[in-house]
Amino acid sequence: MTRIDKNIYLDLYFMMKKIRMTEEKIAENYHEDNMHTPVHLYIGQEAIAAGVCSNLKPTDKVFSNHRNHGHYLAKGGDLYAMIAELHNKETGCSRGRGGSMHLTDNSVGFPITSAIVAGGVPIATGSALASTIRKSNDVSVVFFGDAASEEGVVFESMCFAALKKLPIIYICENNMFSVCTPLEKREVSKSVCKKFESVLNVKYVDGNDVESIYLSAKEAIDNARVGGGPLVIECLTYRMRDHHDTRTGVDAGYQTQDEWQFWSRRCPIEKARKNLYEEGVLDEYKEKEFEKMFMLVLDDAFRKAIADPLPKPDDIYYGLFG
Amino acid sequence: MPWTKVNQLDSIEIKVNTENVNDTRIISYTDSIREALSSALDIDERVFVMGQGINDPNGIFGATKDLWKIYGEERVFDTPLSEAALTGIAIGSSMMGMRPIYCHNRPDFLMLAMDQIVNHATKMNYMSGGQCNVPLVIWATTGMGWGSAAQHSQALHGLFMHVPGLKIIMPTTPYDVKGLLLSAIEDNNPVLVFEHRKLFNQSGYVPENAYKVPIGRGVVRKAGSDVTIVAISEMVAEALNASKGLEVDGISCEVIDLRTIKPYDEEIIIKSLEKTGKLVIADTGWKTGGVSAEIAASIAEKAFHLLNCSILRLGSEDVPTPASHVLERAFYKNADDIEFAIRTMMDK
Repeated sequence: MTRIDKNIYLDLYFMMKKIRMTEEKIAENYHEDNMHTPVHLYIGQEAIAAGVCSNLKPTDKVFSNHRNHGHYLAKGGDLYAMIAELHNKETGCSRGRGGSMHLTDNSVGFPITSAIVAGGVPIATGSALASTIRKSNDVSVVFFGDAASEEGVVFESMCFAALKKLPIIYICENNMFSVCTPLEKREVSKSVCKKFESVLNVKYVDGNDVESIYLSAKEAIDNARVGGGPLVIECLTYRMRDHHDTRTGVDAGYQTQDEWQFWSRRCPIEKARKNLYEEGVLDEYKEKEFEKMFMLVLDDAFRKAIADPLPKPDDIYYGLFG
Repeated sequence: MPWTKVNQLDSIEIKVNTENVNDTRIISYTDSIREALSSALDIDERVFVMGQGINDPNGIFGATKDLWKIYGEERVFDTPLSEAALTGIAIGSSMMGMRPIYCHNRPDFLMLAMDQIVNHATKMNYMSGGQCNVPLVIWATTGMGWGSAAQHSQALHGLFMHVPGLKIIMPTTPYDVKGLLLSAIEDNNPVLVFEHRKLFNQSGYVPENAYKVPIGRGVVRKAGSDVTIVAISEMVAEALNASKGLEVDGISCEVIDLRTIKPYDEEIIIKSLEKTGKLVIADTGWKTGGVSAEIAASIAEKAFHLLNCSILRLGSEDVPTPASHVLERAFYKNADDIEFAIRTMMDK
């Protein structure tokens, strides 16, 4: 029995699949050394990007971070431009100047991401301030991790957002690791957003259940849009690969096999798949058709990206000033 | 955009101290800043002004006084301290097309916002391949004297000069501050505005209408033939005073007010050196690793053949600013120090 419209749930499933397949293809190809850029894969966290972004309009703004591929795609960012950017090409979404950590797609409300942890949080808050001054009803959403919550600037931003009742939703993806350092070595609480409860309301959701995320985000976003003010949503999740690069945290030596297996069994895509099969809106045929179709799109993007031109060194000053 | 209707007028020869000029509209430096902010708020609905204390009864040093009464608190608002977050907030709003002016009392407090200024504001446009402009103005006033001490007296423009992706203006006259501020607000990039507390004690000619002074262009404040003094901020006043004393002894100084530190007007310096062959650089910052060092190195690279003696630099002593007034006097360089240095230079 699903809690949301079956067709929306199916769309969410396909978005998560899209992100997963893209990330896995990047991982597969990464050690060919055609992508000279540090990659921070989103595998395992797809439900959060998909569940939140499907509630947003193109004029709403999403501010992400170094782990941005999922948010970029879920907001409607151009896949080929992203792959070209990873390949450092002039055709990349950031014209080869940003790399994986600094993707841009203004056409879908996805401004350049910052890779300074928590750096995007005040910037997103500023975007919400702009909406308020202009009296547009655009909502801004910022995604940040558990480690980012440890930067003072996050608390400062939330205080200001609360004061001005800004239309911003703060989504904390708590995957319990700050590179290799586990949460218990860093904070007293298992919920990193507890420390913000004095300033803003905080909702806690299962970060691997796309339905719960969709519903919480929908309520928060719709409320913010009509002047209801900011909100924090903490999503508990796990990243199935290392902080950056392609191996697992287990192989890197700071995650246990048991813990990894536990979260593997809680895969958000598997969970959705199971529910959708039960509801009869997804079957093996639909699944395989999607995979086949999207793999063609992915292969095409990679093929084009590899063939595309690199930026010209003489253009190194391009974009310094606007 | 109405900005295209704001004419660019370069400044005429204006004396730093109050003087009678033919045109009768003399206003204070403070009022000139206020006029710039007011003009910008009138011209462009995207402009807003924010900062701790801007809506105090006297505003910040008088410059933002009562603006909120005219433009409303949505566009002119006081802020919590939170310099880091608020800089990010200003950046974010500017990326969405607004034109914020973030006012601080002192450059010292910008240190709390260094990550947002250096890691974010100056880089968003470049990292995105030119797709995310940051039309942000950050305004601050270097303090001086009365025991303000180390954390309220810093002249930090040299630190920021090192970072690509921003501009720095340092006006010295009521005429220039209005025109340069308007140029800064119109600019699509982060512009840091560093005033100097002592320069607020002046009045001068300021046109009533809005106008722009070009960023990146210096001006000759006093023509001369023996020595070129490139002066920054309050040192322009010191240099002009020094040149009066030197004139008596037949040493003719040409005083250049750069007005913009980044990008600075190299051409005007080189043109002057073609006449004088001698360069003195006087900055309000510390001598080491700052603006005077950069200008000296750059001129030595590009115009070595024009120099007939070593470049001379004057800057504050390389210590944190002390509180006691006798130590303050030792810390700061003034007209006497410039005069002494030039006499020594001419004797060689």
